[in-house]
Amino acid sequence: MDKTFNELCYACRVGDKENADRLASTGVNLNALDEFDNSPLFLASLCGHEEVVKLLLERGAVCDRDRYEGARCIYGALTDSIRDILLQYDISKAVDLNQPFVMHLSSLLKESAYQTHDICVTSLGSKQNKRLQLHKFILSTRSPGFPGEINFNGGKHCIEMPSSVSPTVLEIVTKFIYLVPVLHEIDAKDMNRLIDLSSLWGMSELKEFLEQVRHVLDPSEKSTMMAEYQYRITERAREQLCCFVNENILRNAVDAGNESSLQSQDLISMFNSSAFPDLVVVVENSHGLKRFYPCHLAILTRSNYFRIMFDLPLAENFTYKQFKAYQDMPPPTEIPIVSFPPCEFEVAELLLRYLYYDASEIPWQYAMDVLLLADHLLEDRLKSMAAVIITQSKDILEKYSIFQILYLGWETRMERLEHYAAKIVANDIQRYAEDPELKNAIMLSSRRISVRQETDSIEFVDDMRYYLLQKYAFEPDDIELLGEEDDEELLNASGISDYMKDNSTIDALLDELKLQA
Amino acid sequence: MATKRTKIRIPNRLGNFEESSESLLSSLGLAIDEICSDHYSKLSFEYLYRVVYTLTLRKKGPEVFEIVELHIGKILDRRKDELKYYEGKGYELLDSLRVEWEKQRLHFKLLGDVMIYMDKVYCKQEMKPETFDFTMRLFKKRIILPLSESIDEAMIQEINCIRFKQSLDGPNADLCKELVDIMETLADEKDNYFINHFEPLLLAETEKYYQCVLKDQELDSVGRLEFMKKLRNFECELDSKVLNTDSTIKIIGVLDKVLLWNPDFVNDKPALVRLAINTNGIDLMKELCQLSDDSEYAKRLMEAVKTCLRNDANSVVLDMNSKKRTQAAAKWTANLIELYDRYDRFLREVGFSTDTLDSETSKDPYHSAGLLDNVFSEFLNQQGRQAIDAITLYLDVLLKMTQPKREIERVKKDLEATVKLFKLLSEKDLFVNAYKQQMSRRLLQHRSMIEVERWMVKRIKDELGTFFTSKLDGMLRDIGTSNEISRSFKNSIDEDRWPNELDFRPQILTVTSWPFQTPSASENNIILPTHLEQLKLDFESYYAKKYSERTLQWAHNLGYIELGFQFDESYHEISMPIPMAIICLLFDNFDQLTLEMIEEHTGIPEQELLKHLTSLTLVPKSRILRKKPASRTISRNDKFTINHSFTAPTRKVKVQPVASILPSSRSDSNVDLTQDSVKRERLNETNAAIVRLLKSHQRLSHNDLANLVTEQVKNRFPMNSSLFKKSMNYLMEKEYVQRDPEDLSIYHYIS
Repeated sequence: MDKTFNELCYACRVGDKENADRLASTGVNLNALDEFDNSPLFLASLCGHEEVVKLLLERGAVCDRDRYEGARCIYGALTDSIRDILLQYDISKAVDLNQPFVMHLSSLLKESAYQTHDICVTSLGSKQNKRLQLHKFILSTRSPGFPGEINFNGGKHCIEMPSSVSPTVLEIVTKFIYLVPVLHEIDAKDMNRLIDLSSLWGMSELKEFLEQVRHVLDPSEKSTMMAEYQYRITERAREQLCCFVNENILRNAVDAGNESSLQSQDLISMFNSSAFPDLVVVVENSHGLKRFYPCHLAILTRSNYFRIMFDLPLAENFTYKQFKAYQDMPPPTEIPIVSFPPCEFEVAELLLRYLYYDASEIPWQYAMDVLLLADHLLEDRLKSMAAVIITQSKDILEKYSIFQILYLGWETRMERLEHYAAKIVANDIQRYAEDPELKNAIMLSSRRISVRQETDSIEFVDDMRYYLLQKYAFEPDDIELLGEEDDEELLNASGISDYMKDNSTIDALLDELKLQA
Repeated sequence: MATKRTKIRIPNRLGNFEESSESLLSSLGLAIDEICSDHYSKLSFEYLYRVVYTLTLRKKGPEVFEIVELHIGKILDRRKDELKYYEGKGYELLDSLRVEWEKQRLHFKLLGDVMIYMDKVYCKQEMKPETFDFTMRLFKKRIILPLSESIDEAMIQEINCIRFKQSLDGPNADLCKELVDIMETLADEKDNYFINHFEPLLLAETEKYYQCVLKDQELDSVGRLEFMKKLRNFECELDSKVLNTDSTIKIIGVLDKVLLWNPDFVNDKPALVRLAINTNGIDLMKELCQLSDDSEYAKRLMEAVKTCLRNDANSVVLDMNSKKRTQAAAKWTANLIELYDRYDRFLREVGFSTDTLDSETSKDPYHSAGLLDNVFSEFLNQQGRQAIDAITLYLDVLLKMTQPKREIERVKKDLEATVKLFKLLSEKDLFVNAYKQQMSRRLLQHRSMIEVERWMVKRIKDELGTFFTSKLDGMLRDIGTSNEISRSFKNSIDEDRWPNELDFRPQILTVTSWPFQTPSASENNIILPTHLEQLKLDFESYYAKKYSERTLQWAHNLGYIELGFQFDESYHEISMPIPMAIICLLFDNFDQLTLEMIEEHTGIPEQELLKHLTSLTLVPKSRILRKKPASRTISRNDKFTINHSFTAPTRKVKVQPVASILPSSRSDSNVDLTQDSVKRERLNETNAAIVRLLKSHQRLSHNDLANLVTEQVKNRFPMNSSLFKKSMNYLMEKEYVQRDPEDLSIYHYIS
């Protein structure tokens, strides 16, 4: 964890938003301090990276003017606009904002477009006879002790709460389960009931918080405590969802072997499992093997691809609605099945983890595949994260050639990869010049330009020249200045001769290709 | 190299389509057909998305759009043929078009979502329109354009039909609105189909329609106005429902052009304005104004108001040659004031803005500032001297009415009303001169209240400026000091030396302030009765003691004496100029006197004496003396006696010097006199203005100088070229100014 935090601090200093986003999604504490007592937010605002500051604040970094840390951020802000952003996100608001998976989960409580809920809960005392439309898989994940009478079979269910659970209490608990920030809404009179219920239903952080906060009077101390617990609640939820994916989705996944479809009884047992799925995701790997995962539309709609799929009045939408219309377990043929694009099972599982709880730890071996998959599914944020992994991995070049990375960058429109490839090649130009693929890459790049817009530069070559300058730590002006020198020793010492040599290598390549750039 | 170990074509693997691009394209085509025929519930998004994804990676963008155009185009062509059936059926055509639009738009939306990967990757990079926009263009190309004539015709027909019915009820207006929305959604290279194609047509047709409607109407002017108002209101209502704001403004503009400038209405307008003014028809006038804010229209309307006003003013006739000159003048002036007030009230109530801002800068095209004043000043200056005389006479009448000490407030109000007329006169110097004449007489004869006179002078000062009123102020000051001196003189003299039953009020006039010539020597030779002579000497010595440096000259002609006398029938107090009174007083000692004897006893020169005796014997109203023989002329041997049978309706009788009874002779000489002095003053003013201007500019061209001078003296009198030339010649003669030797049109100031 320490290593991730230090990486985050570095990303904040250099303003690498994508990487910061990825690291923040690992669950690292955004409000922790490094060995010099700097918070990531302070570093980002001191170094003037507005986008990173926004990201951190959105993900729950706290800027409390009344505390030393917050004040330091505000006074240290490099620009006025950063300072204004910090002031906007005063602590009172910061509590409401959180990780993307949290926001998605919260939105499910209101969401009704896809009708993904499979259980309704009412409380006896409720006057308006308000029915809460909920999801079994979320209830079972977030509240291990939720009344055992949940029928794990498919179909729809209604549960009536005992009279001891008042509508207010039920609402608070539900919000807590769906990660809607609720700590500041709790009324003192519900305290005892809530503590009982949270201990009964196994919501230990809520219980812990309630037991502590009732003794705190100082508002500032209270809000600090809320922020801290909100963070802990989020992290606990992440763990729980991680657990859920591991133990319910992955464990209940079924391999179909070489057969094209799944046996009916396998499907039925999958739907009777504690995964409470409402659709099945099928993945085919490079060996033509298929694996079936019990999944949830409520979660899949986090991605644009699946949202469009189920928004449109096409077959998938139709099938799902038909399936939901069954009161009991529907016949296996009616179960909705969607497929991920063909990929290795590990890659598909990374995507699932990302969708369920923002998992961003992508092993470098799979980063390229994740990037492609994410592009296919229109998941831009995951794309950026995968690209960050690729550019940071020291081992990636063991498996892929730098040109594959470059081409993938073009294909998926990730400039980060283009720059990375140019930098790698520039730093080792003499070796790569031997590789016939470099010429090919330059040719391809020059053609891309003619398609995109009529400028007479080849982007890849320009990038390489830029990184050559960086390699020898030159400014463009330096070259002109030093070019007039003829003191051999000075030329060697300054590195200009090496630079000239590298540069002429590129020129030679271009001459060979009869290109100008 | 080690890096080449795993050479995989990842994209193809992910797309996982062994199929050829041709077969993918054809399945896409089939899917499009299905979508457009509403059979999409069996289509798999997953499958289609992957088809599009694969085609995108294979860089088949152009081919994909060819397929889209081919299939959508075919369907749209078929639809177009179906719609053709409705051609010429107006409403049905538009309605089916709308239904078709709704339907196809759903299809296009769906297709656009399926093609999202193509949109994001191919269209964005190649800067091509996205699928949805592309299909919208197809709709325009394949359906709207081929049918455009019929659609236009149907739309115009519908809109005109709504206009004819003057009702927005029913589905027609909603349908038009929806079609306009459709046209606005269809993008052109620049703007949209509605703006580029339909709007110009609609404008032209609107103009045609309303021209037709107006042509067929046979209405009187008020009826036409009502009709136009109705049309305009309805059109506004219709447009705000069907069109966007910009187009509404344009349409209303066209409508206004047709309505406001149709010849019938243009001809009617002056009559309508006249009607409004005559009947005090505020609402009618308001309606006329509210028809349009167009500046040209407003100008015409105000021109009409001016014409009315001019005509009304001209119909107020002034007859200064009638016997009752004063009454005529008073009536004329009062009528004009009444006219002015009536128009002022009228324009205010109509809501013409009255701010005095320049009409150029004022946003409101209807403003009365200047309108009234312009017309009146034009009118008054046409009347020339007559107007000046009439106004001053009217003022004189009013001011003389202040003596009975009643109704002062009412008189003041009338005076105030007159202010707005005389400030419009351009020959203000003439006005002030005339006023001064009358004021001097009023003051000397105590015919008005001094307070009111003061107030009036102050008003003149406010309106015309101080340079006009310095002499008037001087006159008032003299009257004030005279009263003071008179009182202290009375106190300085012993009670017993004061003649019995005699009231003496000396008035000391500063020569320069009053419009009289210095008294002639002959006046001083008048022989006063002894007690008056004694009083005169006493006063002279008193005055010399008080103001040692001043010379006192007696102007008996200006003084008055009031005598009480018991005639046979009644007792009268007769007031008359001092020389006449002296003549009368002779009859204390003589019963009968001849002309010669009177001349000898009074020392009045014969010419003067004849004048006075004419007043006393020949004017019927004041025949205090009887002459023998009783002829129409006076000769040296005539004998005069007191006319004891004299009687008059009032106790007080005033004997006027004969000159003022015979206007022709008196006014001629007097006018010449004042004309001369005015001319002199104008010349002086002009000289001063020229010198002032040249001194600061050093050199000026003839035209510039003339303009500047005209501007400078504008507040006093109108400049004319002969006066200017005269002044220039004088100044050049005196070597204040010289012409530029090289350019004769330029003048230099010689310092």
